Amino acid sequence: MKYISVSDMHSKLIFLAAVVISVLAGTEPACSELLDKIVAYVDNNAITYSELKTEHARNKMVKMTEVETLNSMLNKMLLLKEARAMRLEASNNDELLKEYIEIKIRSVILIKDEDVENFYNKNKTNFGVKSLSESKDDIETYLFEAETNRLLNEHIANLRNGYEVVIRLKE
Amino acid sequence: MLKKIFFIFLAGLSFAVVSFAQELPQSGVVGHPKVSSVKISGLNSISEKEFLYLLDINTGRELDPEKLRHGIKRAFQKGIFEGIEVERSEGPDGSITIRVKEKPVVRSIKVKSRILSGYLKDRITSLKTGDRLTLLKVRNAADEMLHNLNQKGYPKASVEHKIIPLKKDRVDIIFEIAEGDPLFVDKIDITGTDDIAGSNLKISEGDILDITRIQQFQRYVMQYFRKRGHIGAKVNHFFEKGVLHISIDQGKKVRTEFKGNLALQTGILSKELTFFEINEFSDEIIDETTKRLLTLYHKYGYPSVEIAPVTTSDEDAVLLTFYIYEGEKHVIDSVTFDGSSMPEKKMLEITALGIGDNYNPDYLESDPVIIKDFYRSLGYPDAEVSVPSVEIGENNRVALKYKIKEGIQLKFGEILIKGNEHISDEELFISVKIRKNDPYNEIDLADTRRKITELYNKKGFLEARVAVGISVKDSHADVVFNINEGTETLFGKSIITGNYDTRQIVIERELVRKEGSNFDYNVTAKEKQKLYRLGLFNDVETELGEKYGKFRDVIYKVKEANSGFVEFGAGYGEYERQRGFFEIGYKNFNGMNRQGSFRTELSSLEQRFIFSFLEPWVAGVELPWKTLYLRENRKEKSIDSGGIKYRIKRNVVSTGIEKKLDHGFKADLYYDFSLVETSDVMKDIILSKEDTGSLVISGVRPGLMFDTRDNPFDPKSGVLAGVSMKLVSGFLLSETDFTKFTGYINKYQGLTKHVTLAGSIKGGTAKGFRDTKELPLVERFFLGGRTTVRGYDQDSLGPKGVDGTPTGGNAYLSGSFEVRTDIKKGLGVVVFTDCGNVWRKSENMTIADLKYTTGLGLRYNTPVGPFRLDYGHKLNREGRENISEIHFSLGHAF
Repeated sequence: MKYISVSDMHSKLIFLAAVVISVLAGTEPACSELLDKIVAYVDNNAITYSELKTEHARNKMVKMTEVETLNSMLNKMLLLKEARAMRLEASNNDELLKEYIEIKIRSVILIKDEDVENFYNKNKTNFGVKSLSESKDDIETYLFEAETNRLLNEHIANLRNGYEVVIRLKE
Repeated sequence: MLKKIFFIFLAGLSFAVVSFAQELPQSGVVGHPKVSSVKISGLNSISEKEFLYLLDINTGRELDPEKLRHGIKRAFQKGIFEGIEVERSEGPDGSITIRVKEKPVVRSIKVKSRILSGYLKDRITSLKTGDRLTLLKVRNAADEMLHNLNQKGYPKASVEHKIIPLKKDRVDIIFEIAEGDPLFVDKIDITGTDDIAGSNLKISEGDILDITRIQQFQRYVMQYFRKRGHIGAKVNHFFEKGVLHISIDQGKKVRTEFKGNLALQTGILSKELTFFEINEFSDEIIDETTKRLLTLYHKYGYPSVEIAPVTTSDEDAVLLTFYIYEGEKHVIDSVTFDGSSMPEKKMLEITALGIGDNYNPDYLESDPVIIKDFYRSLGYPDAEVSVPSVEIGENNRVALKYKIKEGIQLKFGEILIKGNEHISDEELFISVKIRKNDPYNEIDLADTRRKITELYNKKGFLEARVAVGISVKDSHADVVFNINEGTETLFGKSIITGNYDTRQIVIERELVRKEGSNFDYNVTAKEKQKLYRLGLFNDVETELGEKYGKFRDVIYKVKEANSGFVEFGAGYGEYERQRGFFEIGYKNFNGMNRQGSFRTELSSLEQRFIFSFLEPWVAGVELPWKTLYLRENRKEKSIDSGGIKYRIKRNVVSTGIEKKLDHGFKADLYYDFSLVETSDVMKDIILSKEDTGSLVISGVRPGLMFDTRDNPFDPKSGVLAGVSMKLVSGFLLSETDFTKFTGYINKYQGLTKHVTLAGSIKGGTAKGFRDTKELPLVERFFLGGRTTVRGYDQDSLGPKGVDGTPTGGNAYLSGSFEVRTDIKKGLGVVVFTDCGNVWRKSENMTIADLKYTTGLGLRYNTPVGPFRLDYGHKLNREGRENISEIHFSLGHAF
């Protein structure tokens, strides 16, 4: 059995501490402050890290991950690009987005009476004593919004195929 | 001791944690550290200067995080970056490190396929060598190949790509194709008309199912039947279990005829038959065609026309007969506007039906609406206009009578401008041309609104809106221009993309705007024009970046054209006989728009070789500096004898600068050095010892030019004028001394769209000094020929030697006047008259000596000016002179 003297152990620990300091504190990242960088882009339009941080902080209540926030920013960018290509005009980007979705998505949705009826029949227990005619408006609104959501997702997926969309968050 | 070690260990860890925590961008920092130095890595394609300009980073200045964010986004719009990362070193020095990753450039594209490599590669449109690599482009290229493979009969094909990284951000792309098993056509089953297939269907049993060949066949069949008057021909195909089914429906053969048409020929009427174009034949189409024919007859003045279409058909063919009763032609004899205070001429300008026009009943309803709108625009809001009464008199002369109740005309009342903060009332009222008590006029009102909007736009208020409010009170309309100014926009930075060969500076120096100045679309339009004029770009587009603060960047997207050029041509001149030229040049040496060329011109009389070089900017100033070397070998022939008058060998070096000045003026200053060798000179034209042997002519040549022509090749308006002086002296190493002044003024004035008047006066005078009494032969003025006095042969006017050979002189004057007319299809006729003469000395010049000619010319337009054939006739012919001369050439005489 080999014994290690206390002084040996001390010197080894001192050496280890020095290594830790040099590895953790002496490397470049520790000496520099990231000011900003590109985290994603659509064609020639970039999203920066500072923009992502701001947006992420704004969405704190929604509890999204950074990647989810970034994807939502990219989607918005894609839709705005399309809206501008259609030469739509609005007072701000949110209005422009609304207008685009109204024209491109919502205006093509048609909820038929039979769809409402089918939905009512399938979920009859949830409606309790309410009749079909009493529930019609609520069902229509629900189906309309659900369809909007579905078509919007489909539309965004198609748009993503037509643009160079790149995420570089990890790099 | 252990405590000490533990302390060191803890200190290390906490320092590391703090360091990592500092990786996050700081926000809300009050005052930002200054940038002491910048280190950039990974940047290959643009200069550090341009990159830092785009990022808006300057050493010695504070680095604002918001500005940096915009800078990164701006730089990214260059289209060459994949990643940009900006860091600041910890510590007081504030140095910045920027790491850049550029999108690689595609060096080569390879397609590896067993059988279709070339075919597939040739059809890639979404990716080409020299492009910046994007995965979208690669994906699209793969999709294109997959589609083409399917079309060629390989439905199971797959495409994989490999990107091979190379040095200096370049890549090779390899597409590897697995074709899979093709579909084979075991049998072809053609139904319908199969006798057309024959050799036209380029696919046989046993072949691979090549859809492109079937599509070719479809196009052929459709065209075949259309040519034979068939409508509704169709070719369908489907492939099932090895059998290619093709069904051909030849449609119906449709024959048309017109009966009863005397005034309008069948050819004119046939142009209205649309069913062949749309490949459809139905009752609706026949009705539509009948309406079109009726409208056509109405247009030609046949209001009573009646047309009855009758179809007769059998299984394969339809005969469509239009039975036409034309009636008689009616022409409008008079138009009256009862109750109108407007000048009749003005009213007739706005109505479609005018005196002498064919009577077209289709306008009876629409003309009153036009008149009513006209009245409204002039302030008659209650104007009423009836449908005109129509009276048909003798010989079908038609009288139209409108009844008009004008009502009260409004006048402008108070004119106010509201909502303007950034532009004063005084400045805005300069744009307001309407005045109180002026007759109300909507056109003037709209014009004023437009001018106010333009003024705002010019001052950077791009979103400015002007609403016009009108309130009518006691026959006066008070007008308020309500202005919503919007926010001010200033020019941000310039982002230039697409300039792979052309240097940034070449584009930047053409941009006239200044960062921080009011945004103005007129400025960007002017910049676009300037960039086009460089001749380096096929396309220049400008886009605006998103607004940040008050600023908007401008993105200039250029597409570079081929900078090299080769031109050659051959022809025949009445004086030179066979002639030709060859030119080769390059317009963008070193990416700096430096231009160099070599040109040779050869004919039976001369050989010229010219090397030229142009530096467009000198010392940062737009001051084109031209240098050329000319070597010339020329012989002049005597018109009468056909013998050689003299031979000249000339070596010339000329260098000088040109400067464009305002208002169409251009000044230049050249230095010329010529070594001239004159030989075989006819004795009777020798005026001085310098007329034979070698002679050095060296001098300076300042000039001033004024050009406002609308089109240099075929001007319809404007003036071209110039004066120049040449000073040749021994002080400049010349062996002869003289001064020479020349001047010209050409004026062009379009009279109508097809007639232009053009006039020209040219003159020159020269005088020798010190030992030079006569100018050397090569510098003397000669006149006569295709661009001067066209009734005379080339250089045949002026003083002559003892045997009648022109000697040239020290003074000349000439004038020309042309009436240029365009007839049709590029053909034109010109009537001209010229005068002029040459004198030995300027003191001898007298108007009485002028020789006059007149003549006729034919012109045929080409992209570089008209081809010209002129016949000139002498008006004061002398002795045995020919009565006339014929000249042909390219371009106008002046």
